[in-house]
Amino acid sequence: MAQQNRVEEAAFTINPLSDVAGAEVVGLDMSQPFDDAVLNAVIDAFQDHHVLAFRDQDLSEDQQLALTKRFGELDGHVSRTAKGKKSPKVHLVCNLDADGNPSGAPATFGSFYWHTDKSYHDIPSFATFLHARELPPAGGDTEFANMLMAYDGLDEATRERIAPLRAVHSWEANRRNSGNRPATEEEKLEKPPVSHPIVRTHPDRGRKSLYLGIHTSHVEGMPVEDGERLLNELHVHATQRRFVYVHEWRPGDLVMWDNRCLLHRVIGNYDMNRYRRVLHRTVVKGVVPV
Amino acid sequence: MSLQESDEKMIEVIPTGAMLGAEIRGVDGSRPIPSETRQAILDAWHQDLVLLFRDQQLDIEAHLNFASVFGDLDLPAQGLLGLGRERHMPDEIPEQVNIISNIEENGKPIGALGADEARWHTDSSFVERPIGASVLYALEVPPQGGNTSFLNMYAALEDLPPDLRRRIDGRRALHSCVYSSNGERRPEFENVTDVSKGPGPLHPLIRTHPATGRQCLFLGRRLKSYIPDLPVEESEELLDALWAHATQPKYVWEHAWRPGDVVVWDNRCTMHHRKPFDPASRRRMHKVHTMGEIPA
Repeated sequence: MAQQNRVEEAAFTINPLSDVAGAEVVGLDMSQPFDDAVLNAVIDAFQDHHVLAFRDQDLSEDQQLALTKRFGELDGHVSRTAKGKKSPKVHLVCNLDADGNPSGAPATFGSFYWHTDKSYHDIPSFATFLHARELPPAGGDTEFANMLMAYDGLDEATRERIAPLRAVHSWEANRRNSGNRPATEEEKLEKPPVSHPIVRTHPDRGRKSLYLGIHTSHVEGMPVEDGERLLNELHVHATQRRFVYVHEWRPGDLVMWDNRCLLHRVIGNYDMNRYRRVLHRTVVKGVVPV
Repeated sequence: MSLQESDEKMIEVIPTGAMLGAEIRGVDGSRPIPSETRQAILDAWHQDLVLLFRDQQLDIEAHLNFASVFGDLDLPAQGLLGLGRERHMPDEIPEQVNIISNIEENGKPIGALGADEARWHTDSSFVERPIGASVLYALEVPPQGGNTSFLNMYAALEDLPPDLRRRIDGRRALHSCVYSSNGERRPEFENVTDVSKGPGPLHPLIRTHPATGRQCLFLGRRLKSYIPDLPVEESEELLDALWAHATQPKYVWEHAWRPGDVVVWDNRCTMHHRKPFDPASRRRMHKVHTMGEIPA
């Protein structure tokens, strides 16, 4: 059901995109400053839908940074650009090689796997903003799996079993699990492994969700093999299609999602050697998962 | 649980008599596998490279659990390439499972690969980090045809004529991701006209198995393969010679499927091939992959 919002001159509509997650926001220009009333309306919708797609946007990098800061503290990036430079605050997500040409062999494969952004940090991300600048004619979808629903879908015995457990997340595990070149010593030093509860409580609404993804390696205090097996089982459960919303990008989309209760991944369902897919990414720091 | 474990008999390993392959008796893949049994299975697997478990009954969940005896679960080819789910897969099947079948329902195939020949290949070598095990479970098999053959790539390397071995020492080959093993082009990729420029990762031609420490030949798939830094003609000639050597019948074990068979092969040190079968007959297999390593 569409929801009308009238906050001063800003009139915008929020339309749910699926029963699992996702809503589009139409009629709001995110390149311009907005007041707290608009901010609160957006945050409310975000709590309900976990993924917001602001349609028909055109933000410069500075405007995207300014927008992102309205939601909290900016997060840095461990990954390197195709040329090996440390990523700036606005991170380029693209299928371009070091010469700037479209390529089917991306610099990193990590985003093809289910993950939640920066779960290898002590304080992982709260929200990610991704702004489409260049898109293939079709495809390059982003999939989101709703971890609140995945948790609700577990049987009582499994919930009790995993309630006290913590999974180990690391940049190194990400590199290994996603088939990338191993992490460099410099990267390992910069980001040693951290552990987070497998069941986390959403800081805003108090609902429980699973907290998993490609950055995990094993479970704290459990034989490595048993932990891997448990994480495998939970992962298979949590990524069933009934928990997944597929976002098909439109030109001008600015998508914001909640890393605290979603896994996501990109789908390479387009000719990556021919078409350019370029998005600008900014990330807001979250809180320590509990 | 402790009762189950003490009841568990030692497994029986019956080698096929060919250069690879063994049947394992005394394992019910639908039940939890105690760690000693698991170790015995892995030892046999590293020794014989391909294991056959007869008369199994695995639902999807049991299949995934049994596969994880051989490592962490990985995705089917389509998912490994970042292309999402196989188009034919019904929503209720988890994405770690692939259906290999020629059966059509409502005019649409329910699985991959049809009824044609699948050429010699090793699974998923077209990604940077290829998979480890393939765990293939037969639900329906045709009355004839559709046999799967396996090659021992350790033996192929050990016997490699010294001149060929010298020519590939330290060299890598391109493993093209454009075509699947039945020769069909994946629609996401354009046809490759110049093999030296096609998409796909480079892997060493001689690979060391991470568990056994033994070296083997790692060829992947022949179609649009290329050995960098060589003129295309020379690369073609060298690859042809390697493939002719590696696919000799003496390195082969051929398996005729029965329903209930689970066959687990190690993609790091074997290749496999499927014979065509009558498209009017029904064949349905479920397949699960486990993670491997970046070849070194």
